[in-house]
Amino acid sequence: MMIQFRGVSKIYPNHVAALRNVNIAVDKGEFVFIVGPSGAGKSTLVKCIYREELPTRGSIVVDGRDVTSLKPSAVPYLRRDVGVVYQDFKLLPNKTAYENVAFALECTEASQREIAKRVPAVLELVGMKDKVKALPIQLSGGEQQRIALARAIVNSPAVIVADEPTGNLDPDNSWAIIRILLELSRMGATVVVATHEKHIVNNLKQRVIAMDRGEVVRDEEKGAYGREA
Amino acid sequence: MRLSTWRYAFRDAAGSFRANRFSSLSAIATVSVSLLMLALFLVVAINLDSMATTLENQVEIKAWLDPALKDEDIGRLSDQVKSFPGVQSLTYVSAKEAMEKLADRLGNQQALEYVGTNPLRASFEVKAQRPDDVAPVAQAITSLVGVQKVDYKSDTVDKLFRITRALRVFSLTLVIALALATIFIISNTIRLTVFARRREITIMKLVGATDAYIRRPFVLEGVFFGLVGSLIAAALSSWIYTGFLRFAAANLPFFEIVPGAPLLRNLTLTLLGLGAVLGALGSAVSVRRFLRV
Repeated sequence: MMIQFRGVSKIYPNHVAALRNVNIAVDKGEFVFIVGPSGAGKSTLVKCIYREELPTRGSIVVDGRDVTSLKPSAVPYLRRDVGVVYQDFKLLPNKTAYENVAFALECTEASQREIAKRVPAVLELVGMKDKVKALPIQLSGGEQQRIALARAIVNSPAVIVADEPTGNLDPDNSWAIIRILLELSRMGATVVVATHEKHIVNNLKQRVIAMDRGEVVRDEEKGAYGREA
Repeated sequence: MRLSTWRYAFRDAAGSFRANRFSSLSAIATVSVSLLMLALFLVVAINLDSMATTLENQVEIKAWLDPALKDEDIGRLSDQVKSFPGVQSLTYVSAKEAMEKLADRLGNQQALEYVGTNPLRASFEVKAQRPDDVAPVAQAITSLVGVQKVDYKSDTVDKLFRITRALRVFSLTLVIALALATIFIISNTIRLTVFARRREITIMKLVGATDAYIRRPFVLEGVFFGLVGSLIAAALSSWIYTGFLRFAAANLPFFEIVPGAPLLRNLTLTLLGLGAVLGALGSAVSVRRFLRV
């Protein structure tokens, strides 16, 4: 099992229960959509995987690591193993596309030679090898998200987590991003995508975990966004 | 740790300096102004202390000896006094020497001849190691057989010691207060430059950078601010002090000003060390707030 949630609850200091007794298990190489309305707890669930949030109760194991009892000094190593794609890209505005990706490797104290080898390879994989010198501001939203995706995978993480990765993109670019994520899952990565893009979920017939008010209300192989869809 | 890690840190620190030129320069200016204030006050405090020490060293205990004492008795007494705790030095002044001194002071070499016999008594001039030792040493000497009278102008000396002690407490308090203010100002200024890069810090955390890796360029930057700022402060305070020394030599001959040679070198080294440490600490503390992601 690559990701395992057991009895996970998250109650924020303002008493909002974002997760209530969540139990899920995701296998190595699986592709999973987390769907649900705004405020259903999708983001919180995803953030728990790379420990941006710590659950109030329950246990989470990711790639053999007990995330909930991890020492703070061990958190960076968990995060190198989990590539994250955000809705707002989170690129550094003063660094070029190449530097933004190289940056993630530098943070892991990789050598220059390794960086020079791996960064062009991932940029090619996401179809951005022609724009290595562009600053984020010179790129479209779709292009920025590809750079962010390249940054997420440059460390060859076992798990790739995407939180509304297509939220700011037009349909064409959304599809492009999803296709790359599918490809990565086929290459062996475990991919978790939180989204509320109905047409993408319904078209792909992948596993779907539906959430509502912090609870898992449905977990189906080859699922759809919702029963009404 | 790999060499490349340090290379990234240096590159990032230099890049951030260039990108945030205005706030970097204002950080350096703040460091140099606050360290300059500290330095100027420090040299004033050092001068006050040196003046106090000079005054204190002039305090002397005088013990007049019984004229009937033989040379060997005087030798024994002298050894006894020297063995008292707190005694720094002892000078024997014979009656003849006392008269010569008096004659010198009066400018009249015939004084002895007028009087015929020497009415003066031989004495010990005793210096104490510390101001606090003066009274007990004087007390101890008084109790010796063969000593007729002991004097150290106790009223004046006590007053002097009270004043010098107050002076030292006052200047030490001010130096500490000023040092704390300096730490506060410098760490606040650096916090502004860190705040400007909080987004970058968050992203670094999320892609798996360790806290040490994130901290490194900021600490380097802080050390750089501190070193450049303190260099400027050291240069300015040396310049001001040398100017003051020149002025004092011409206009204040009765003041003993601490000379510039060892003082300014030590001051410069202290400021550089202080600047580097404050810069590093200020950065490290400021970054910590943003590391909780």
